Amino acid sequence: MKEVVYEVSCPHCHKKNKVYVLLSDDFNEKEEFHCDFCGLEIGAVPAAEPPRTEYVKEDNS
Amino acid sequence: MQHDHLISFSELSDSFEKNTSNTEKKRVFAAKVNAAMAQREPADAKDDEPFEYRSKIEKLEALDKIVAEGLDDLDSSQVMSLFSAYRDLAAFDKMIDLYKNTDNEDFKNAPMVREQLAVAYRKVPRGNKEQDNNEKLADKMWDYHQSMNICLSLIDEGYGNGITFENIGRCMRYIANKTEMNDKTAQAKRKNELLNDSLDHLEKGFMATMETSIGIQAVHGNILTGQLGKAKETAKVVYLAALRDGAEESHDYFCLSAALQAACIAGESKDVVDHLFHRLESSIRYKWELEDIAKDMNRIAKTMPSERSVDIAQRMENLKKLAIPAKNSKGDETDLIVFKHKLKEDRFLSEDKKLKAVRSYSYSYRGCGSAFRGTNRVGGNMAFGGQLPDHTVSRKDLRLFTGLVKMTPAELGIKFNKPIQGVNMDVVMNQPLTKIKDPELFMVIADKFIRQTFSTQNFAGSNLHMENNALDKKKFNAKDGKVVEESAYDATVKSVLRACGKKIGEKDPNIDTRTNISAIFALGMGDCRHHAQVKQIMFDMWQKQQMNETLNDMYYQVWQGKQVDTAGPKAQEFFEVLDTELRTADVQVRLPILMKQEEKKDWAKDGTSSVRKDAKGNAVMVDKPYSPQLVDGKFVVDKNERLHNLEDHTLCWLIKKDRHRHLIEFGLRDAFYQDLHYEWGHQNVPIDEIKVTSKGKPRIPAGIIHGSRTDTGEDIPIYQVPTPYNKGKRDSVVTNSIGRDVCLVGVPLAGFATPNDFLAMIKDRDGMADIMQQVLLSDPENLGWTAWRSPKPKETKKEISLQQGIACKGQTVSTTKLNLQEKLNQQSNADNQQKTLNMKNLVVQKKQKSGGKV
Repeated sequence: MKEVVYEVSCPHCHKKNKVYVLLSDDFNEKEEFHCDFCGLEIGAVPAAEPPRTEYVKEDNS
Repeated sequence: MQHDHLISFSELSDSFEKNTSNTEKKRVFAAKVNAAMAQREPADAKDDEPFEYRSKIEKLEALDKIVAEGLDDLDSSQVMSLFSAYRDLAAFDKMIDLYKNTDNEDFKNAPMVREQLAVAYRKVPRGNKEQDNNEKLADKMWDYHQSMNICLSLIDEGYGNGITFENIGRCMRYIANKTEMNDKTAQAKRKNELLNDSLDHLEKGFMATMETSIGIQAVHGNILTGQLGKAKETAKVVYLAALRDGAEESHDYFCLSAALQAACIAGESKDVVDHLFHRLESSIRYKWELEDIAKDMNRIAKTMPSERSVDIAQRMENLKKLAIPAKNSKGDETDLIVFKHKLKEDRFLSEDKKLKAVRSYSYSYRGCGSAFRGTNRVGGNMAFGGQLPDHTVSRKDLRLFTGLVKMTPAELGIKFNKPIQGVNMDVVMNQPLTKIKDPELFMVIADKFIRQTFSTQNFAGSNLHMENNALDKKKFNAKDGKVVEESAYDATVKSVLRACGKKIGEKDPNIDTRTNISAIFALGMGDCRHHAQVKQIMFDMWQKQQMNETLNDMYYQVWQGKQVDTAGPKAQEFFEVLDTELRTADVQVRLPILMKQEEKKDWAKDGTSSVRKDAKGNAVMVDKPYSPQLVDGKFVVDKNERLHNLEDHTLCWLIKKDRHRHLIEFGLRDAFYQDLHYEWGHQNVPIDEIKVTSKGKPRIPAGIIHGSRTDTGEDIPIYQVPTPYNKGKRDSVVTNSIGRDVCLVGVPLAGFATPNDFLAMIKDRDGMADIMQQVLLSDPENLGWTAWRSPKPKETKKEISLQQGIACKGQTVSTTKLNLQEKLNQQSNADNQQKTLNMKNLVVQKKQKSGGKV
């Protein structure tokens, strides 16, 4: 298992989010993730567990 | 409320006021939920106006406020709209709380709600700063077990589907990942047991549902546990299941990723693998998607090397080098990726332009029938002031129609006045529709059933032949002094809309006009769209049963440790069904005749219109739909041979391709226009005569108008071309349906518990005709329609039908048939039980082998 961090802009509110994804060394599954600011779904990511998102305040100010 | 107030059709005529009041209450509630979920502040701000995006916290507070006002008066669809809103915001804890706090049993017991609750338990984050990691883990483990228990209950009750089995498999894998013990040997053993249990559930899930998403996980589970042979054989079936679900034309990364991996493992041909690779390449948007498929392909190439898997793994690695991070507006790199090289975006795996054209401008419910999520909506126009409600196709509809295709024509009450040529009617009438192998025979029977139920030839006994609906109109003076022309059908539709509490012409997006196709069919009130939709669903469910039967047999071979023969008779049987598609198309009926003219209007977004003017200030005139110029009742031929749109129409096309992906048969299979105007019930079109425009739109020759009906006395051709709004597949997901309710223009209906209840209403044609007439007569806005049905309609003379003929042969025949049917059913049940028993034995043997608990 390893954690990777992606930075994604929300397609709805355009705020930048950090997405923390736990990846399995084996097979990963489709997990949706949501914008930490507006709450809406950004997309889906292959992951071993539901990812966590964090709104990046300084980049969005 | 503990239970929704469902109304029956017979209450409709007395429900004008009550439903109007209920509609208003529901409209107010829907507006509140919509306001809570508004993305912008102010909510109606346009892009070029100042606004702020609303945060998740604001939205949740607004939703919580609605919940705090009380749940007692809400029906299941209203509770569901809150549940869905929380889900849309990933507020899984709130979903769980809402489920606990509501008393609405219809909501709480609905399988779709419970599935979503199970997913919420799996996904809800646990723990707070005060808790240590062990406490958080304990909470999360409890969630996983709770999530699995919900799914196991659903499976026990017969509601197992892709989501339930997959959820169990995931939970077990997550528990395995989090399991820690002091004794590392015991820990490894326990993890192994859990992973095997996870695989068992995925395999059972695939056997039960034949859903691709579970199948590909079972493939990987087998790879991880070292069962490479089984992984390969499973992949062959998964690949076929992906084809059944329309992977060939999919845009979805996960669907394509599964199809590509399965195709590589199964050893599919190079062109298939290439096509899937190119579709996947053009669907990848994020860096992680590319990394994920590259990693999976790399593992497959290493563990199961083959020409295809090694090639695709290499191409994925190359693709990673070609991916360029997209930059945001500030110039920073993002995780979105783009490719500089030109991508191949062919939607279909075929070079045949005609095949591509006819498929691109039509749709079916094949994908819905397999991995169905929620409820699909075919938009109406009531929210924009029109009188066409939203049509929805929910799981409930699919379940009800699947129930119907498992019945015999005799049970369905289908009546034939003459035998179908070349068919033993005695056999056909008494075998389930699913036993029919010939699609043409199936469609003949389905058409009869559909036309009988919609009383196409005599709508509700009003003497209106539905094919004449656009012509057979009566003139009435409306209250505002205008002359209104409407048919008995048009008038009934309007009255039913009003009986359901809706105002015609009212533009309001908060008005719920959901109308399930089952409700329309049971009532028997349908035009060409409904005829086509019912036929499409029946055909797709019939085909799905057949394809799943062959896939199931093939996967059973895998369970028995045998190889799957993808060129064998079972596979051929599967492809025979797969390559024959019925697809619904919205078309313009175009022919070289002159039409009456009207002023061209430009419509604004707010629903207002203005007349378009030319440079000189004169109104621009255009053809008036459904209004041909007539002389002595004959069409006036356009001497310039220009094609004009006589009407918009919806019908089914039969599309058949060969294994080389060429269109080999094309036909019109319209359930609506069969007797008058056009003979489209069964009209094959020579492939050579189908033209494709430079934009890829098909032009279908659809017969002729005979010279006796034209002013020149000469035959003129008819063509079908896609309507401007025909975009192929056009349905969208509805969020406020629990997937169980059946609605008529937003009003939940009683009487749809089982396919047999549904059938009882379908068979009660006289009763439904009385109800429709009564609704029209009770309508305060009735323009002057009077009763057309005799006081005792049920005692009117009935036509002698072949079905009655069979029934008249007496009890002996029926009993014999019943006994035969019972035997067939018993045999089928015995087969299934034997299969299940064998599967269980295999599981037991495997578990005993691996030392796992049974």
